[in-house]
Amino acid sequence: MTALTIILLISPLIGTLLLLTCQNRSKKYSILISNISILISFLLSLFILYLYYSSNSVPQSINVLTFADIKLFSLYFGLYIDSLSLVMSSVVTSVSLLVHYYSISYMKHDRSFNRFFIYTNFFTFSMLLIVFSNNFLQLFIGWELVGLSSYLLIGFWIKKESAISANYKAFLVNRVGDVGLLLGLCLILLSYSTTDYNQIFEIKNSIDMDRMDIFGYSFSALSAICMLLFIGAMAKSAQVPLQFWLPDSMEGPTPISALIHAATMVTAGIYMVARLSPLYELTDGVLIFILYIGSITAFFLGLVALVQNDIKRIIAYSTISQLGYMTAALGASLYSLAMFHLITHAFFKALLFLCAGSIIIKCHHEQDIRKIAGLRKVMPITYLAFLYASLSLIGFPLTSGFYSKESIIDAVGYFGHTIPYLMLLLSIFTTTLYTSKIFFKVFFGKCSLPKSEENNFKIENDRQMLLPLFVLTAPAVFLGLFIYDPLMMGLLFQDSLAANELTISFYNNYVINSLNFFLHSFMTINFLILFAGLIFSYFYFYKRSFDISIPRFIRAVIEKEYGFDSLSRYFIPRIQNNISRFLWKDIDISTIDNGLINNTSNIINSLSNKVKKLQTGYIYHYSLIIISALILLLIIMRIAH
Amino acid sequence: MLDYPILSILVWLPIIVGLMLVVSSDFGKSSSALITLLTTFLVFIISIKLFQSYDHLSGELQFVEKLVWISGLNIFYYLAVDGISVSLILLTSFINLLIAIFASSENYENKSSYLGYFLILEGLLIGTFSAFDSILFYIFFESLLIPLFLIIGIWGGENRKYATIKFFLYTLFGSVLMLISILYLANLAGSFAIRDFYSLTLSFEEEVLILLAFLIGFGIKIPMWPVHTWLPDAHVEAPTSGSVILASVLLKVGGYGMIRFLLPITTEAGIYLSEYMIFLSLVAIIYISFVAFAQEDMKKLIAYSSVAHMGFVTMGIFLVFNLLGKNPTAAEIGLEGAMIQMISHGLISAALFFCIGIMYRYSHSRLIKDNYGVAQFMPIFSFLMIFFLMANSGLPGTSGFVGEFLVITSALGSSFLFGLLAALSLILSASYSLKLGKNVLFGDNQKNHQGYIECMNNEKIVLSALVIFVLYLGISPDFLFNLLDKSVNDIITSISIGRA
Repeated sequence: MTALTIILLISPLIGTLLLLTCQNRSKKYSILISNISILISFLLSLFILYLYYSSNSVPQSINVLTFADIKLFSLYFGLYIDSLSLVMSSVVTSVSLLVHYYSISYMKHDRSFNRFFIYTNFFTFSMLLIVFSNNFLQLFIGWELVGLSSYLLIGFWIKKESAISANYKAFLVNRVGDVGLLLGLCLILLSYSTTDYNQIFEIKNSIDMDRMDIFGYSFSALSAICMLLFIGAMAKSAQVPLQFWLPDSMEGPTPISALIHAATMVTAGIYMVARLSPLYELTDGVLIFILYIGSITAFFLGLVALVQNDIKRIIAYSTISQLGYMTAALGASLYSLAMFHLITHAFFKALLFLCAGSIIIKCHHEQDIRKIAGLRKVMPITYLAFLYASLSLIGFPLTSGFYSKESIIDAVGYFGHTIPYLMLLLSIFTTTLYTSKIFFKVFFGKCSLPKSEENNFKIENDRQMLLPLFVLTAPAVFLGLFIYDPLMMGLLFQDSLAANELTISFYNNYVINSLNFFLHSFMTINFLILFAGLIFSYFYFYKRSFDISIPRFIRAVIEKEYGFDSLSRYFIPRIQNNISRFLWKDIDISTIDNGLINNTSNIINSLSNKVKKLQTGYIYHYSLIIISALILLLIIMRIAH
Repeated sequence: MLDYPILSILVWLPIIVGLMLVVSSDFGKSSSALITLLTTFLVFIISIKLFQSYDHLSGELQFVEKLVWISGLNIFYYLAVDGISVSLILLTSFINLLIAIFASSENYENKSSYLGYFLILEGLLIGTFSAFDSILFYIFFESLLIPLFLIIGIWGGENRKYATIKFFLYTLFGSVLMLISILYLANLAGSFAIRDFYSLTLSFEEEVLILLAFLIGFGIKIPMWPVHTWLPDAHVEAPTSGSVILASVLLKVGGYGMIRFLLPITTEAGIYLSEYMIFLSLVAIIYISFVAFAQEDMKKLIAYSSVAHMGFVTMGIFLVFNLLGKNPTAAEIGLEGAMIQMISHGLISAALFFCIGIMYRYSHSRLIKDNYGVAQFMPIFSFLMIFFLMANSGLPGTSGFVGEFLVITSALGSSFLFGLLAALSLILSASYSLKLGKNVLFGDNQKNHQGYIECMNNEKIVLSALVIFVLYLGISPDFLFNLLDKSVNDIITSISIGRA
């Protein structure tokens, strides 16, 4: 199993290296190498997952290769093979594979075709590095490499001004989170003298009592560590207040958005907290913080999606909001539900993005939904795929999204977290609204395409672009139903996640089974809100029977992302520029260099100029000085006497 | 142990060849380039031989060559190495080899003496890193200024007079203070051998004064805030290879001196003043990063970035004082981090100055605004440069990460605030490094006024060699640790014993 896992992990890296060394080969070569390397990973993921469950294996942590081993600090490549990492890797590789396949057609006219696949392969590899990591240092390395690959991919079109600002921003915001992660990692090294997950899980109890001072306040070492690590997760998984890089990351090619949003990047933070759930369970206060951050993100960023008009940006804000649900689930100690929503979300969000990509290509890179309309007849396959993905996103009963999202909402309510529960509940309405907004505007109404293309039914898009839509529809709609019962009974993730008993008690007392949950849902307030949202959208976006004008002030606040937009676009760069200029011009040049250094040399210079004047060379000057000095001396002697 | 004086060969071979090149101007451009290439290659091979025969399990000085030089005063011709010296000698010879490769395609007037000065510089640097007699050390240390002064003064840019004089006086001022302390210590110890200074018992006031003298002397060299202002000027005026050797090896002399003199000799005063010195290092890391962000000149940006990275080196060194009683392991980690940071910065800054030199050849401007859209015309070059910029911002997997990581860990062992402030460099260094990449490499440049074309093969070799080493050190820093570990350990234990 170990050997297979290594191959699984290394395969995308080998793909990267092969593509890197053979830059001048044909497109076919790039396609073959990149897709096959991911395909290998995908098949192996499924195979190992099957092996794992069928042989009733136990979680194992293996150190494969040691790179450096110095006292505290040892850097090694290790694997943590358990149900959690294997399920996660199956999700990552399956989405990645479909995105790769889809990109063949999407990127076919791009000159840097080869470069694209180098990056995507490397992206997948970095993510797998995180997924299989069995120690914190490898986690951090994977974490940063994911940041690097996303930087390269968002800025893939190097001539596009907005893209190269977006990737700069994405990298820097992620770096803010990395500071937290790095500090957490260093504290782990100092207090545990190891970075291995298992060893830390074992000794966590004894160390829990350690206190440490941070700015005069005393914290338990473990809480401080978990808090710092969560800051890293906040940046990667786009949680308030570090969420503002994600919508801008839309500047990259659309398949990349699918990859970033569904599987390979933003899920890393959620996955990390789930992976470390045994540690988080022992902290005090951190989980409540996580719960609130998650629900605030889910509610407020969902609202922002309502006022957007760019199809990709709407979906981007929807991702942030959905990640908020996952984070809230983590905060309520419902780790398996968070992972469940992560999985279902990966599929339906990837599907949404690939549909969006298909629409964008068809509309010649038009992304404004006000200018796109009536594509239902022209793109029937995309239309259906988008419909299913949307149903899953809004949590329509029986879809995947229904099981994962409604369970989170109900469970948060069940365990008595009232305020987060209300926020998550209200988000159902906003989710329904913004999803229907795209759906009705893009697919209904009068067709926006030119007449000549409108009747061209034969070519919706290339086959490479449509096949992934078919394939993704299945898990996006039905996966939830299949894995719901085993997941809730704790069979899917077994002992990999802590606090399973919470989920199980929720399941036994509230859900009972998936069918019951489905039937029961029609009588809940959740469904009422969903239904109200659908009715409202139908009349508002489709029939346009009425018009609501939101007060301009509120609209502006939401549109500006509650000030985060101006903060990131305007204030932070400005503050940094001003501080930098002040420190450089006023302190460094004026005060230190000119004031201190050059002034010293000027003073010495002018002094020596004055002294120089004494050396005139004229005898009578010298004799005058000698005589006056003599007289002065005599006078002094006289007085002294 | 070897039966030939390997250190003397390493020191004098390049100096002699260099002097020949300087004196006889008959050599043509290509033959002088060839001679330089062969010499630096030979020195590199010998230094690898030195590394291989060095026994890293023993912390003792090795390859000792100790001859009486001036017997009455107990001044010796005393060359030896420990792990710290070996690592820096390797860096010196490697960077000089790269300079020789890079310079082989460059065109300068009087190229043979240009290359000759670099060879002399190489010998003097190796001498500085292997001298264990304080007078010998001082002579090498001071002589370093002369070839560099000439390189910048003769082959430098427009404003070179101002830059050279500033650079010369600045560093001379520091070394005079250093000379005074050396003389004072030697007077007490009755010998000029550096190791004899370690066992001296000094009064607290004496220690503080000596510490300040050394701190100013080496602090200017490394350079620390606020005595760093000579560096940007010197870099801007220096020719490409001059900048490379200045940033990648010459600055390290300051850090090396601190480890040799400051740490063991003035321990008590150091413990007393450690928080102030850590504060200065943090100022360098944070303040200078902001200053680097504001730069419009590529070379100045990298020069300031060097100062910020050297902040980690001084921080790692001064953390030893702070952690000595509290947490000796963290102290060791800090010092090892400082050493690795020096080596790593030697590679990365060299690479970035090479990159800037290549772009300058086309655009004839070092200003950021005159260079844009390079990636369209020089894809391979841009790929490499992005790599180095990422390494500069401490990406894990590159050498830039290892040193910073160790120093931050060590700082957290001292106090959370120190760790947090040092870790801010993660954001700041990324912000200025990637800003450079964003403005220079990316963007649309349709006309290509600058006439960019892909860089030459010898330049690709130089940059690729650096990529390999930066990656190797980042992924598997074991060999460097093994080299340093015993020596670093010895320094820390000898200090601790000295106190007890």
